[in-house]
Amino acid sequence: MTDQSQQLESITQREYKAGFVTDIEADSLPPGLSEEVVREISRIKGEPDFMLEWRLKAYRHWLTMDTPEWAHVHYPEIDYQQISYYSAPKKKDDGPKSLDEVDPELLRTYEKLGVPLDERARLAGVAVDAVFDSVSVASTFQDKLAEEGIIFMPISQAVKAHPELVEKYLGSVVPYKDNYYAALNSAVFSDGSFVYIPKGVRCPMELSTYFRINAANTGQFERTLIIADDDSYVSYLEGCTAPMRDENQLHAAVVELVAMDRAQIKYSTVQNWYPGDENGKGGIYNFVTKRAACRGESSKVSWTQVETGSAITWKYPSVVLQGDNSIGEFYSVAVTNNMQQADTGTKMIHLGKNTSSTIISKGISAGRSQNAYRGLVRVGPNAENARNYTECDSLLMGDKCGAHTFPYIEVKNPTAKVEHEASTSKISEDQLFYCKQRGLDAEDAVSMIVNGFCKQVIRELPMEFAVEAQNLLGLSLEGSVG
Amino acid sequence: MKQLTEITTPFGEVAAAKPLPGTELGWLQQLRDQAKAQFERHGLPAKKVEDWKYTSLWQLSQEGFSHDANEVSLGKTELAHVAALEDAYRFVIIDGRLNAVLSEIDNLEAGLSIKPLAEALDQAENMLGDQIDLEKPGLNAINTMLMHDGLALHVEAGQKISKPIELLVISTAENPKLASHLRNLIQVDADAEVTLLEHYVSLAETAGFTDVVTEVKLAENARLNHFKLQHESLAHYHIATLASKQAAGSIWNTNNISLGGKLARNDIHSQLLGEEAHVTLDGLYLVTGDQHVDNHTRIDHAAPNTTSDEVYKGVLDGNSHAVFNGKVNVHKDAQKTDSSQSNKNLLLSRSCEIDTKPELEIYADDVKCAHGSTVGQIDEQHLFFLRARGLDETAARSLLTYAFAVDVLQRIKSAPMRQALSNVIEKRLPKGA
Amino acid sequence: MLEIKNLHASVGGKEILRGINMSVNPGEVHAIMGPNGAGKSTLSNVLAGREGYEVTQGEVIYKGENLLELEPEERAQRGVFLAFQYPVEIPGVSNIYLLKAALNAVRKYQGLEEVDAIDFLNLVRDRMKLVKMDEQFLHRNVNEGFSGGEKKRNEILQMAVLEPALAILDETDSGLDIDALRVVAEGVNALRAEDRSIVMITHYQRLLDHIVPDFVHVLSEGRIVKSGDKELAKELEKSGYSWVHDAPEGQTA
Repeated sequence: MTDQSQQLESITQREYKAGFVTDIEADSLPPGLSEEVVREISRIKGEPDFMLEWRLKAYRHWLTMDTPEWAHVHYPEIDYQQISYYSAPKKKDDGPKSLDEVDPELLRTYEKLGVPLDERARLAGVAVDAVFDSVSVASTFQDKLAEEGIIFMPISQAVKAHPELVEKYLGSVVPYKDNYYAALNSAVFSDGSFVYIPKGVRCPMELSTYFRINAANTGQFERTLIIADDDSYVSYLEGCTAPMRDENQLHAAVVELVAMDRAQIKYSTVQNWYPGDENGKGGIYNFVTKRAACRGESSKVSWTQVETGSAITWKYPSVVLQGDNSIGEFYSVAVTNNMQQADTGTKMIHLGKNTSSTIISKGISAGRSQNAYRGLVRVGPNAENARNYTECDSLLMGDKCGAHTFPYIEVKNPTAKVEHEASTSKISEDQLFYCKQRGLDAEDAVSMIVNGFCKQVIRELPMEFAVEAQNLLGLSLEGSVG
Repeated sequence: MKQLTEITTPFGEVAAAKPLPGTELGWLQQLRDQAKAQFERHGLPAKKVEDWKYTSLWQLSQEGFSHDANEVSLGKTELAHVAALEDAYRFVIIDGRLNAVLSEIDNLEAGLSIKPLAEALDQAENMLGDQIDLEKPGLNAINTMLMHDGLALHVEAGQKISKPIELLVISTAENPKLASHLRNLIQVDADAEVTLLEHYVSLAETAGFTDVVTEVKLAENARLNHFKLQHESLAHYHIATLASKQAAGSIWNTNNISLGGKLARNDIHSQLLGEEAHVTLDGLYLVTGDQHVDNHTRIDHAAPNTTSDEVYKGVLDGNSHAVFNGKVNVHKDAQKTDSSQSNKNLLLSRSCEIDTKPELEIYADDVKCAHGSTVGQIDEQHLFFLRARGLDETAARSLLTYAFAVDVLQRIKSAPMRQALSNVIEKRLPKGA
Repeated sequence: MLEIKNLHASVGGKEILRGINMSVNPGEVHAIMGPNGAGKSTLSNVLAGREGYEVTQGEVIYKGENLLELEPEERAQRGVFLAFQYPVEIPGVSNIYLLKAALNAVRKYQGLEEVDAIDFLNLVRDRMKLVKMDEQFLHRNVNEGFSGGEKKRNEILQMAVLEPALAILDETDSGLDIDALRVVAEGVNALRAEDRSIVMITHYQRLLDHIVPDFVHVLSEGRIVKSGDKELAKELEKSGYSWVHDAPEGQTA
């Protein structure tokens, strides 16, 4: 038994491979938050008035709010005056027009992270928006996408280029009053991606944003807005990394998805923010609000997430199922190791008729980490024939970690069918022994069993992401099993 | 909304004015003072308190209950009609007061002691209040302040009590709007076994308020088969705490049936403190009209090799609202915990509502825990099958509803108890109409 | 190949094996028989290195190495294969994935390159014929939803792919109907080779009708009380195990 724990421990000790710092000159605002800072961000971005007004409303509302304390996570109070709300690599003028103008140091950074921005080097079929600290540094394939009428650009650019779309949809899914971090984000967000898929268009390639926090003492507050118009389809991928630093850094993003009639959005995340060291020093506070509105009939949104990083994860990618026959899906793997804390799950809000949702959540806890699933399935009084199926499994590795399950089910319609199942168990010694008897060493055996445990989720990821996720799962648990 | 703390005044006055038992006991007085201070600080829990998210006590606080009751008695035949068990020791409380005439507690078998709370208090210092958390948002503090009656049951080591005990708590039309604050103390010593039925019933559709706390202490290898049947009037408020501390090898089998009440709330808490202790928490709620039923259960696996098994089922009709919250907490070092929990709900009407939340909090690694909850309707295929066998639709639905509910009772091992409770369920849910 | 000397082992402080002596040469097939509780499964678990089995005395030499000092996977990589009595299910891990990972682990130890995907598939297809398994089994999760017979056949398939030097078959016949037993036995027989030893652990004689052993040992109360050739098994079938309890202490081959 103790042997096993020791082996578990040795496997879960891992190396964070994206922990390097890019040495690049940056323009940053000094730490601190005030109305002036909000105005300054808006000014730097050259935003239209409506944006500034909206930011200020959000900021003023944020001042009246308290930090949420209901999640199963613990951390010292954040001093919002110690954070810098804007940091951008120094550049000549108004942002790169083409990759040739992007600082080669930045290109090398993304190369090192396995996200080459050179379109020729990219796997064909993935367009990338690279967000470095507070700004988007490169968006690839914009022209090719434009041929189809698809808009894929940094949101800071979209605010100027497509103000009518931004004004109409920004905050329509996650209002700035929604919660503490969403309000903060609405006030100070600096960049992120904007996607619009026109009616009837099936996006010919995967769209992806790669988020990178580099500067110290900087918060990253990106904002992503994806609108899929009637009968369109888009698959969007999101990856995240940050350098290893001893200080905690705040990442408070907001993602809003809007799916119109028969539109489908597939949103995949591989989150590998720096989790802190094995003693819990440093790491990203990942406080994120992600929500989709299935506005149209027969629309569909799938969230797939593989969460291995961050010191603290607080995120609940949700779907509001407004359109009749709309579908919401949530597939999640959350791995916590060492001192990491995760409180993550989803909300499926059934409002339309014949709406259905599926939740598959796999939590893996190792080290001294705490891993909680928190979910809500709500069926409104008019949601005739709503269906939900939830499966929520936790795997424990090591006797010092915790695994928790907090599912809320609220049903106000008698035609609803809601099923929730959860289980928690230790990684099976019989399975481990079986694999070892076939010659696999402890590490490979654990990695294999864990990947098997997560298969239902991994198979939802687009191919190249799935491979990355599988490797990450192995890495994240390195040093934890045997 | 009226400030909830305002209602401290009437309760406080009652506490001062009413002759409560045990005033001569210093420790008890101290406990009551502590409870009073606690209640004055926190009042009744508001809905923003997580444990009371779906259940409001606002109406309760507006009812203006009285605490004085006229003495009432019943004829023996009338009583026999109300009682659930034929062959049992019976402890009868009518409108909040022990009725010694109707109680059958004189010729007890060896090793069994049944006393009114007031007579047991001088021996209860280490027992009373030990199983419950006074600070917990709810009515534990009020109950501790105002408890005036109840059953004190004690089984000596090694004794297996042959007959069940029926605690029969009756509300009559004679004392409408009466609030009763009952405290039951159940102590089962090592290797002893006993069966208890707590039975709460109204004789008329009048409003009343039963506030009851039952504390259970099980010594090593003790076994308590603990049933609760609540079918008070649809105007009645019933708020109960049922809490146990269990030593190694002890078994607490509970089955909690909730049929009545305008508002019924049960907080059931098992603390498994010794190895190999086991708890079964079963329950059934059948609600209709404007009924609101809320069952909060919590199991603390605080020692290794402890097991728990929980099945709660609900049938909701009319405008009813049911809440289920089942928390399983596996403490650090409670290795080899095995816990399973299930909550299933059948919705029969347009305007009912169910909120269910099974929870697992696990701090040990070598455990097996599972929970499941479902919300749904009668299976159309089953319905079709029965209709194909000649039942009309109404009869088929009734039968399937009955079958869904009675499933929980089939887990009861004692045949007479199972029969007695099934009879009650059948009256409410006829097998075929 | 395998030398077991005075092996004592206990589980949870209770002594189960009380001095096993046994010698297995390359190419030999040994059957270990015995009543329930004799220590048969303990022996196979000790040889494979399962946790929770404490060796209190004696030694096991495998190909000149002290087997008991090796980790389970090291034993496997060196060619010790245990066909499990109760093969576990591994959700989400496909049969073919496990096979490939296992084969590569063995090859890595042998200093060989990882097997090429096409060669691997050809190899597996070929070996599947031995146990009459359908290719769809490759893509199902390891043992998940397999019948008893399918699980046992799957064990033999793994053996056929991994080509161990020493195969220990733990109650491989249990839970099999006669047809399945025949398939499994044919598979094992096809794998008999001059450089491969097989130790079969079984309660019943019927397996030995299909896989004929060179030696039969009777295990009782943690000791080998009698050894002989295949005739011994027949004798056992006639008279049952009751007599072994009366056999004189220490009467071993």
